[in-house]
This record gives sequence, structure tokens and C-alpha cells, in this order.
Amino acid sequence: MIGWMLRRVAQAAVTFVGAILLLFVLMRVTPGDPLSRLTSDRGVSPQELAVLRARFGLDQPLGAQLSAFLAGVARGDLGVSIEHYPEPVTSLIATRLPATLLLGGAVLLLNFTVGIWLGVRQAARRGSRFDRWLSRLALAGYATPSFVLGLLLVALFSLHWRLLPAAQMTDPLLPLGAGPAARALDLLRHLILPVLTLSATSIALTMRHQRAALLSVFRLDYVTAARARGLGERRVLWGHAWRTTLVPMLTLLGLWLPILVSGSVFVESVFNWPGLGSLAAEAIAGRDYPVLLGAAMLVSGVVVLAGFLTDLGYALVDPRVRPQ
Amino acid sequence: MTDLLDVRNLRIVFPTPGGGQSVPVDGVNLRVARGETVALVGESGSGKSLTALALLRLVPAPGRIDQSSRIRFDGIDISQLTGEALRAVRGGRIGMVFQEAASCLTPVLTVGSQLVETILAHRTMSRAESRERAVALLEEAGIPDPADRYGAYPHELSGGLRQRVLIAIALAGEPELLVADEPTTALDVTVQAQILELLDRLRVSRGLAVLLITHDLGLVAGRADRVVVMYAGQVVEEASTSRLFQSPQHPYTRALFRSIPRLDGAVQRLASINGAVPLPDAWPGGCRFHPRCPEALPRCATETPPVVPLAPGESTRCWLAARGGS
Amino acid sequence: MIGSLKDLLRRAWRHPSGRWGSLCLLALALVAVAAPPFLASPIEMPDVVAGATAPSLAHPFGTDQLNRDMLSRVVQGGQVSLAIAGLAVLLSLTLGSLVGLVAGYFGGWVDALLMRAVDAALAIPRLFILLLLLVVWERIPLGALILVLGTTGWFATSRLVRGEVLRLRHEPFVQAAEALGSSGWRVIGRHLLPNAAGPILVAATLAVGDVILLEAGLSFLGLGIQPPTPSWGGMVLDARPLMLQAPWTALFPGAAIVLTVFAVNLIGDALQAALDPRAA
Repeated sequence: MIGWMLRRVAQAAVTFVGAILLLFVLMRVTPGDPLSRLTSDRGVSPQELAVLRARFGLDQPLGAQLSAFLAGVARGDLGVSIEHYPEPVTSLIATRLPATLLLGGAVLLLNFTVGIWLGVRQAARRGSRFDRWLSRLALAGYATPSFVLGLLLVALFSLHWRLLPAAQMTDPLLPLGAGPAARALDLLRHLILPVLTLSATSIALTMRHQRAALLSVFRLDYVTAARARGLGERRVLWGHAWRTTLVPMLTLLGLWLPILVSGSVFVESVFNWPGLGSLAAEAIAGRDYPVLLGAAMLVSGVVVLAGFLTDLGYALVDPRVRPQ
Repeated sequence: MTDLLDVRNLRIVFPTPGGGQSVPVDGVNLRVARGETVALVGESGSGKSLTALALLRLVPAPGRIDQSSRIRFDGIDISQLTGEALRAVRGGRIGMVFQEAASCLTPVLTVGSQLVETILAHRTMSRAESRERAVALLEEAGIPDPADRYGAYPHELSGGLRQRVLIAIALAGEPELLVADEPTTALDVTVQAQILELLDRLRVSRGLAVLLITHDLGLVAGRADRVVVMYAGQVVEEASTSRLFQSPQHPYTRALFRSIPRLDGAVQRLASINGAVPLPDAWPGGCRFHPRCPEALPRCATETPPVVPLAPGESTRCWLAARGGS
Repeated sequence: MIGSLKDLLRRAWRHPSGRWGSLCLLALALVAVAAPPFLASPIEMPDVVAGATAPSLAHPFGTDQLNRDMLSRVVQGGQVSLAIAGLAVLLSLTLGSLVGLVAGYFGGWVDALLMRAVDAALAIPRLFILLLLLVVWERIPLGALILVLGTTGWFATSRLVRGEVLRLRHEPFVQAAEALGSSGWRVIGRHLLPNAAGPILVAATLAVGDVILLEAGLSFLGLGIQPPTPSWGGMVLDARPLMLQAPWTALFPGAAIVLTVFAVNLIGDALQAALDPRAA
């Protein structure tokens, strides 16, 4: 078991390094000089620029650049932001990460609970109006770009009906002496719309996968056999049928992550949510290449990690997968 | 002796894509008395497995049991049961053992947990007690090292062991009737004998009534008290085992016996029954066996033969018998 | 190949969602192609003073903040979006199929190398690759956009095609062809590719929807189709400050995106169902 795990870790590491290399190639391939803006917009002196070039290794042959790049990544130095010069990229990311984790976490929670439950309900009532309409709703959710949905929700719930806040994570006007309960409520109110928006796409996928997985299990003999033993319908559904779908559902984890990550760029920008996504959006507007690169690296690392955890999950959930 | 199981006019109907119906089980009557072993014999396509499923109301959708069918167990009308009452009968009064043990055990749950879950579905007891009971059942089913096997997953066990587990689970609810649908077909010959022997032992030790469903007449001898032969969704002959083996009345039964390979006697060509088993959506008119029957009369093609009683508990569905025997 | 594809399409047509999706998409495409000559109002006459006006008989979709007819802009945006999506997916498909076929058929270190590279590429979310490639341009030429979209979308397709090839290469008909002396490329082209066409078609259909969403998002971020060429995403971006006063400026382009992607996915689902041998 340990050997198997080590091999998986090695595979994941190789993939991550490959991704980093790919990003390096991307960086070198794109035309234009990302640093030129520093002189024109930020009034950085040519001498400082020369130092930076040396630091980024831009004036050196490709091989040296690559090793400088990799060395930097290895010690956690992802360069310096252009927009927020001279703040290091890593500290910028670190400041913004928690907000995105909160948003992402809430979306995952919603998926695990509502998404799965709806998918199971659909499968249990296959062919009914509930099933058909929910499928259409899910598809509509998938087809709606997150920024459109976000703007729509803001217009409706914040601007028109004034029920929920339109932007940000917290109310800047919240009194300083407000207790933890008030703060929590404030946070929750700000969280609702962004979470709903970001969930729309992923929940559609979750529902569809859960429904399909459960329907394929229903056909199998052991479900009938479980009923034949006198087990209650709920037990058969959740304890036997659904339990077997955990394995194919784990694959979803790998699908969710890129969606959440990409979606968060739009959702956070629409709602002004102070997380990584809006950082990326700002970096786009400000042509802040180092920040984008740093964010891309972080996100790739997370995707690779998620893949590894999924593999681990397979072994935990399905006894047939475990190495003997 | 009152019958434990009394099935009258069992009809199972499936809608066909064209809008019509196919009736794979058409008017089956079946009786099993307490402690009796009845063998339900037929080829695949005869409707015997569906009959078994119908006893527990497990006919797969979109099939359904026709309104006119009556299934009575110990006086209770099963065809009308729902919810808790139906659940209690399943496993609690009628236990079922299926053919492919591998596909009848949930792969992600241990054997022990599936046993315990069934025990607790029919009786209230503490977790520890149910675990003890589970190990005892495994032992009763002839599984060596039952305590160890408790935590095993289905895919970790051999075919024979899995079948024993299935039998243990079927008995977990302390049923009075055990329905065994082709319990040995998927197993090696040596293991087959062991499983059949196990079923025999259990039958005696627990006083079970057994409905043994099989296509293999060889299994029946020495094990069943009575035999019911099915063909194309109908019962074509019913008799005590000894009488059936001595003088089968229905041409189909006779053909079945002829097709059993024998080791004694001169080597001849393996006999088989001409033609193929008809499909439920295309039952032949008149007697369903007539296209393949070597003794068919002209009227067999147009008129459905009635069930002709021959002796108490014995009958045959054939024009030859109606006429006074062949 | 033609025979089995026709059969597949026919079965997909029988599926109700396939019919609705196809009809919808066809209608949209027809409008995009044939409508412009019929759209009366000129679309390039910005009038800041008049501003956005609500939907009326003269302007069924209203006008945007520069008093340009929304209907014409949405239709034109549709032309651009569909064209871009189509071309980009074609590019992805070709690249992905090529890589998948080569990796699956030749195996060995070629396969290992290619698939490791694909793994690494799939680890980076596509949006980020696109952002890194596009952000350096001041104005992104349309051709570059298509190229970039096309070259970032082939990874999953290559895995799919490789899987199909691995499944098929041990089939008797492939071994027969090899035994008869067909060269590797011939086997790939005449035997493997046609039989893998079904799943590839499904993937392509769904990819069109994804590219439309991606392109709309990029335009919303300012990195996609550049103004004054109308794009649905760009229109939503422009409509953002007007959400309360002039919601139609965002609603119509938004609805256009949803409708198109919805229709495309319906077709993809129907094709998928038609492929499934368990279906009637």
C-alpha cells in the first residue's frame, strides 16, 4: 500500500513539474516584453529594470533562464507583481487566498449536499416530470455563463429588491464593535449570491453524474437481491446503490476543480469578492504577467493535488481497487 | 397439510415497444406445502425465474403482475401487500437465493455487514448479538473460519464461498420457505454437489420448505418431493418425483429426459429437442409446445390444451392426456 | 464511415432532445447567416445622447448605450461567435485526433511522452493558459484568438481518441489489415479513424458549446473579440453599468449565449444516447 502511494505521489510530482515547464514555455513563447510596462507606467528607473531583468533571468540564455525559474519556484519565489510593484507575487496570493477558499468551500459543500441529493432523487424518480424538468434546469445552469448569471442575480436581488449586498465580502459600514454573530451573518449575506452563481455550473454536472451513475447501478442484480432480503427501500437506495456510485462520483472532483477555478475569475470579478479570481481579473486589466503566472502555477498545483487525492479516495472507497 | 405457498393463475405482463404486451408467465399454478421440496423445472425462457421473483413482488419494471393473479403465503395475500408488511415477508418468511452470487452481493460492503444488516432488518437485537448471530449463520452455511470471513469483501471469496454466504443471508431472517433459483449453475461440479448437500442439511435442520428452480433434471432426483415442469410461461406437468421419473406424461418432459446424456447403454447421438424455445412476444397458438412436439395432434395447433388432472397433485397440460393417455 | 455516421445521426434525430436542439441551432445559424441583409437599422452609428432605449417595434431588442440596434448586434455577435467556435473546435479536433491516433497506435515511448505532456497540460485550467497567452497583446487579432482557442482545446480529445484506438487496435479487422501489409498510417486513416468517429463527434459537439462559453468569458474580460466587432460577452461587459436602467442590454446577449449552448448540448446528448448500444 505504501509503495503504491509513493508511486502515485511520484506521478503527481512529475505532472506538476511538467505543468511548470509548460508554463515556462508559454511565458517565453508569448510576444512582447512583460517588463516594459514597468518603465512606461510605473516610472521604474532603467537601472532597477536591469536588476529585475537579471532577477527574472530575461537577459540570459534559455537554459539559464529555465534553471533560474525552477529554482525560484522551488524556494517559493514567484516573482514580483508589476501592478503592485514591488510586492512579491506570493504575498499577494497569500492575502487573497482565504476569500477564494471560503467561496470554493461553500460551493463544494453545496455540491456535496444539494447536488448529490438532487441527482439521487432524479434517479429514484426517473422519467417523472420532476426528473425531466430538473435535467433541463441543470442544463440551463451549465449553459449560462457565470458572469451573466452573476449580473442577473445582482440586478435582481441587490439592485432591484435590495435584499442582499451587491458586492464585496463584508460590509464596510459594519460597526467596529459588532460581535461575532453579527459578523458571521454579514459574511453569510455577502456569500449567498456569489456561491449561488458559482454553484450553478458545478451542480449541473454533479446532478447529471450522480443520476447517471445511480441509474446504471439500479440495473444490477445486487440491488434486487438487497430488496429480496427485506431491506427497506431507503437502505437499499443509500446503503447499497448509492454507496456503489461513490467511485464514479469521485471522478467529479477532478472535473469540479477547473470549473470552480475558472468560474471564480468571473464570479469574483462581478461581485468584487476579494479572492484569487478577482486578483487574476485585476492582473488581466493591469497586464500584470507575473501575478497571472503565479496564480496559474498555484492553481495547477491544486489540480494535481486534487487528482492525487481522488486516486487515494478510490482506494478508500472501493475495496476492489485497493492493492492487495 | 395446509399449503405454505399457494399460487393461482400467476400472470406477468410486460409492455412491448410497439404498444402491445408480452406475457412471459401465463397462468401458472404452484403449491408448496410446509417442509416440502418442490422443484420447478424448465429451460431458460420458460418463465421460471420470473415466477420466483413474483413471489417476492420483485418483477422488474416495466413488467407487472396481473390483477387476476393470486399469491398466498400462509394465508396472507402477498399480491396485495405493500410497505412494511411486504418487507417483512421478503427474507423474513420467504428467503431467496439467486444464481450468480457474485452479482448479488453489494461489492463495496463486507460480507459480514450485509449479513448483519439483514438480521437486523427482521429482528431487533444489539449490534454485538447480531454479529454473533452472523458468524453462527456463516458457520451453519459451512464456511470455514467464519469469524475471519466476516470482514471479507465479496470479490475476495471464491464462487462456492460466495454462494454459501448468499444462503446464509437468505436464512438470516428465519424464513419458512427458501426459494433457490439455479443455486448451482454458475459453480464447478464438485462445488455444486457441496452446495446441494448444504441445502439438504439446512432443509432438514430448519424444517424449511424449498422451491428449487433449475433446468437440470438430474439435480431433482432424490432431492425434491414434487416436480413442476414449465414451458413457455405455463406449467405443462406436475407430479411426484418418483412418478415423473418413472413415467413422464407430457411430451416435453419426455423429451427432456431423452436429452439427458447417459453413460450406460450404447453410444448414440445426443438427443435434443428440435426447434427453439419460443419468445414471450410470440407464443405459438394452441399448445405452445406443438411446433416441437413429436406426438402433436392436429388440434394441438389450434386449441389450447386444458390442465388434465391425473392423480392428487398430478396433472399435465396435453391433449393426449385429455384423450385418455398416450 | 459515412454509413455508420448517417445511422448515428438518424438515431440521434429520433431522440426528442436531439430534434429540439438541432432545430434550435439550425434556426440560430440561419438567423446568423441570412438575417443581416434584412436588418434595417445601420449598426455602426453610435449616439451617446440618445443612449439605451427599451425594446420597441423599431428595435425589437432595444438599443445599447450608444443607441445601436441590439438585434443586429446580437445577430452579428452570433455570426462571430459561431464562426470562431466552429473553427477553433475544428483545429482542436484535428490536433487532438492526430496526437491520439499516433499515441494509441504506435505506443511505446511515443505514447508515454505524448500522454505525460497531455497530463501536464490538463493540470493547468484552460482559462489560465488562455489568459497567459492573450494578455500580452494590446489588440488581439481574430485569427490569433481562433488559433489560441484551438491549440488549447485538444488535450482531452487526444486522450479520448487514444482510448478509442487502444480499444480498436486489437479488434480482428485491424489485425487483418495489418496482416495484409497495410502501413501504419493507412490502418489509422482507413480503419481506426472511421470507427472512432462517433465519440469524436460527440466530443466535438460539446466542445463547441464550451468554446462559445469560453470566448464569451474572454470577451467579458476584454481579452476576446475586440470592439467594435460585436461579441455577446463584450455586450454584457458594456451592459454592466446599465443593469438597473437598461437590463435588456445584458439580457439579450446573455440569453443568446444560453440558448446556443443549450441547443448545442442537447444535440451532444442526443448523439451520446445514440452511441450507447444499450439504447433501442
